Amino acid sequence: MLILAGAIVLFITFYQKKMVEARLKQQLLESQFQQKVLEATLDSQETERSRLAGDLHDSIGGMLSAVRVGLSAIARQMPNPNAMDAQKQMLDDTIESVRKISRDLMPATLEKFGLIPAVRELCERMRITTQIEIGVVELGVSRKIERKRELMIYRITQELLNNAFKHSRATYIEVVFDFRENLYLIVEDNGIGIDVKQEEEAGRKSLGLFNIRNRVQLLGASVSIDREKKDGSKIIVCVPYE
Amino acid sequence: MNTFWLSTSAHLQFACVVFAFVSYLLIPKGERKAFQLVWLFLSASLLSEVSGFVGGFLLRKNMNLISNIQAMAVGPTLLLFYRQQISFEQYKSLASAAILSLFAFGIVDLIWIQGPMAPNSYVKICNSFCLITSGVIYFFSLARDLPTKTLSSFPMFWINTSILLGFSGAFMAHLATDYLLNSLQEKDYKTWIATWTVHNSIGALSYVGIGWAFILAKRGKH
Repeated sequence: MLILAGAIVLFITFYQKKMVEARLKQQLLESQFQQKVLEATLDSQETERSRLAGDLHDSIGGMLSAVRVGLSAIARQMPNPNAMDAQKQMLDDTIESVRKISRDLMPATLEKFGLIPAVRELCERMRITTQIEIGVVELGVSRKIERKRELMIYRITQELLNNAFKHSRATYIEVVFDFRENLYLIVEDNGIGIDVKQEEEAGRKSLGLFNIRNRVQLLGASVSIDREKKDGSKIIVCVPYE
Repeated sequence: MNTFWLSTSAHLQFACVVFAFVSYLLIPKGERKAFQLVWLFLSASLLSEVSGFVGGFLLRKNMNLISNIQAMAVGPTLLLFYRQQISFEQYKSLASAAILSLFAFGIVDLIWIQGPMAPNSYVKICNSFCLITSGVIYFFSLARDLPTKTLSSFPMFWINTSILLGFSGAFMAHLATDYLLNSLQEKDYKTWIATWTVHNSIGALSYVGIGWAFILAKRGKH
């Protein structure tokens, strides 16, 4: 009986070890699979955005520009050339809106000049629309980051800025890129601050936060809220260099 | 083996019960709840050991009554503990039935079958059987649920191992005692002494295991 009990204890000890290893392996495979699905979803999302941005810019934008030229030509032949000014203005606004939507969908600056110029351009556009001052600060020497990762960081920045505009009631926002150790993206404002509990509750419902989390996960990054900041909020995203 | 080894092993067992008992008291109060029933078992064992030492060893009196009452309480208490730990529904209902049956059988054995002054080996054998079975089922549930990565730092692993080994030893000892004392024409005391020396040594080891589990629980590894 004693030998049997001892054998059972030994058997369980080894069996449990094997089972734990097998379960960990399974969990790893599952998480890798989920990561791949997420990556594929975001990839297809970006591809679709890019296609849509191209179509808007080249096709609709091009056609609208052609209509604008035609309208100007018609106006010149009219007895009163200024009669079409209101229509021309409306068309100009539409062309500008299409360009804006196209830029928001896929920033050409990001592809041509990289992350920082693209974020600067985004902040400038946001400043004009919202009248809130936004500063972009760069610390350390910027490193070359893979295009896909750069786009994800850009999207995170875009979402964090959107959140700040919508909820913080801030008058100044600062975006910091610290390239010294890992890439730290810090979005800080002087608004009403973040109620962490409320934010966690909202995080379950908000699509924006959901997207941030997905991208952060894919980047192997971490996101944290500086709880010590009293006036306003400070969100820190730490992206490790690969 | 002779009586020297028998009494040494008995004293060692007594010391180990005290060690396990004290280890429980080291666990922070808020975290003791999970192990309360094991502590009750230890208290009953300590009481029995003290009465055995004072009454049996020093005063040379028959202290079987206290040992029998302890046996009557130990089985149901530890089964109740296993009932809390094992999540299988079937086990829970079987354990409830076993708790009631063991308790009832304990009273019957104490009063009518073997009597209050004789060692109530029948109920002790039944206790051991139920607890060995529960220990094996607990290990099965442990392998299924995998609540920890490293078993050696999991208090319940040590408690279960101790109970399984301790009651395997008790099962063997009580069966052998019954056979040696009741069935053989000529009393074989040498084998009796050897059996109980082994029983006491295994008992001591199992109390050390329980004490170690409490120390792990104190360190917060559960």
